[in-house]
Amino acid sequence: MLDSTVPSIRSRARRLVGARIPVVVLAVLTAAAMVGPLFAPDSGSQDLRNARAGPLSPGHLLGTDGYGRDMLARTLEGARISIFVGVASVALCLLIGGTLGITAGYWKGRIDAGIMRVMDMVLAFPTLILALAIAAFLGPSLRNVVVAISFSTLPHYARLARATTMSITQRDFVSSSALLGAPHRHILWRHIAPNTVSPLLTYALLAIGMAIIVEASLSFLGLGVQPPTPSWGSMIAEGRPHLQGAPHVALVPGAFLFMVILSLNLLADSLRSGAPAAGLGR
Amino acid sequence: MQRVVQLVVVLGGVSLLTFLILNLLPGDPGLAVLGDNAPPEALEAFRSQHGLDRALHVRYFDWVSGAVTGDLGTSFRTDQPVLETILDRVPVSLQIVVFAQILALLISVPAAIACVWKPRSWLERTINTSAFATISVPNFLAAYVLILIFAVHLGWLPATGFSRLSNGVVENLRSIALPTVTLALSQFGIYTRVLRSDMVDTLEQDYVTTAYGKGLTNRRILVRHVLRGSLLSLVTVVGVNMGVLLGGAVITETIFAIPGIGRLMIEGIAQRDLMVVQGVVLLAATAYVVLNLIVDVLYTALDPRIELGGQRRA
Repeated sequence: MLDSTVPSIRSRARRLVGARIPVVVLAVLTAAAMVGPLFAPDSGSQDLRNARAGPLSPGHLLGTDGYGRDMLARTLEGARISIFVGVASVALCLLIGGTLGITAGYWKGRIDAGIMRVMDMVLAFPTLILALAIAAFLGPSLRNVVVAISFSTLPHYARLARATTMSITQRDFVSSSALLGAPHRHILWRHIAPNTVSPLLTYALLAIGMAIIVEASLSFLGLGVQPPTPSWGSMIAEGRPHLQGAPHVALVPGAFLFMVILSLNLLADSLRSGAPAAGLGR
Repeated sequence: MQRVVQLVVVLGGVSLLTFLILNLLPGDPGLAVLGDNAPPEALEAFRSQHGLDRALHVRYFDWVSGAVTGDLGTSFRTDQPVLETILDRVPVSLQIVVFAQILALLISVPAAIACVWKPRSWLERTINTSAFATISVPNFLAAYVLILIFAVHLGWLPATGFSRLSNGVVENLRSIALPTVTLALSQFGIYTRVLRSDMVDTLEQDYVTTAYGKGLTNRRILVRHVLRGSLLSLVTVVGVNMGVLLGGAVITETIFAIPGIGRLMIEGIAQRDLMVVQGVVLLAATAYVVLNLIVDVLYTALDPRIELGGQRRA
């Protein structure tokens, strides 16, 4: 922190809250989701005598659901689904959308017009509606959820990559490289692509949160991962009839979803406002 | 005029994409509607009745030319015209969406003004934190918590169901109270943050300094000058959100069993009623595109420096 404006202790403290806490929360959750199933009770084993047990009951830290299945184990398994869908769909979008956007922004003209008109068409649909339509007719499965989410959010990445590419192409180092006779391939790989990474990744943080919410929405509506595999969305839906009497069945996955989205939003917010996030942005 | 041509082109693309997604994918709608054990003759009859035996492009042009004249085909299940079914649901969704927007704006605008009026106060911090938190609350969670408090514990409001206006105003309002608040809550955070950040920018403009120099009161400046000069982004976001929600607040309508557009789409999907889903998706996208156009036009009304199709004049 050698800036001319030395941040006050208070604003530093706020930055820590803004960046480090969400990083810790997300890291802990990811780790728990990965190793949790090794320790927690089997997420599939039913025990109808012990159904709807409240949190902190013996053997079940977060209680059990309507079939007596352990909530903690199911929530952690749901976390795996959420993380996978969030990361996979965003990675797919970064790859395809980034390529499309860079292509459009670099070659301009007809290629640009062609690609962006198709993107505008996709953009004309509300995201959830389009994802629903695709998921519904592809059939419910993990892979199809990723496809549906990727397809309906693709234009955002393409637009961002295109705008960034267009502004970089006009910079001096690119035109001098072109004047020196560098082939297009060299300019695209060495100059354009690396410079689109940073804005795309910042957007990706927000986009992971969005993808996780769309995944939860799809599985809430029965169009996502199929039971008995737990996903936060379907767990929340299954908790609906238990709201009276055993609200934790719905609120536990709901709270986890909230925590993840809040952390991602905080992280994206602190990156956007230029404050260096702990361990990131370097 | 140019905008209208553009609109027609986009809508053409939208209809094509809708049709392709829903028709190219595997699965025989006849099989889905009549059941797996349907005799071949019945399937054949179903296909010819709904024109499914024709070539894809013939079906598309038939559907689109019908859509232009207000005919979206008939439902596979009920044999009712799809447009009629949709129009039956529109007022329900519209009421909730419009009420939710009004409620969200009624809270957000004063909240944003308060943030600018008393910066770095406990009030600003409270508003900021709650705005940030509500943005991150998924709709289902907000809906469940509201149901728990107001329906299960307090018993003041019904947890689900919809009562039409014809059954009495009070019953109608009681039935839409929780879904309206659920939707408003998710908008409140966005609107407050957008308006506040724009107002902070506007405060630095010369004309605001001039207004202070003229000795106008703080309140007058904030409302007359700063608020008015900061509405552009808010209008955009509200417009886009309206567009999204008109296509159906799918989750909220599902949780509260509200028979709106979003519910219709889910029912259509569950019953594999291709024509209904196709109609709803087309309508949702159309509403979204048209609202975006309206926002663009509103821009010129709010800020005379912006010309349609051009850049902001210096």
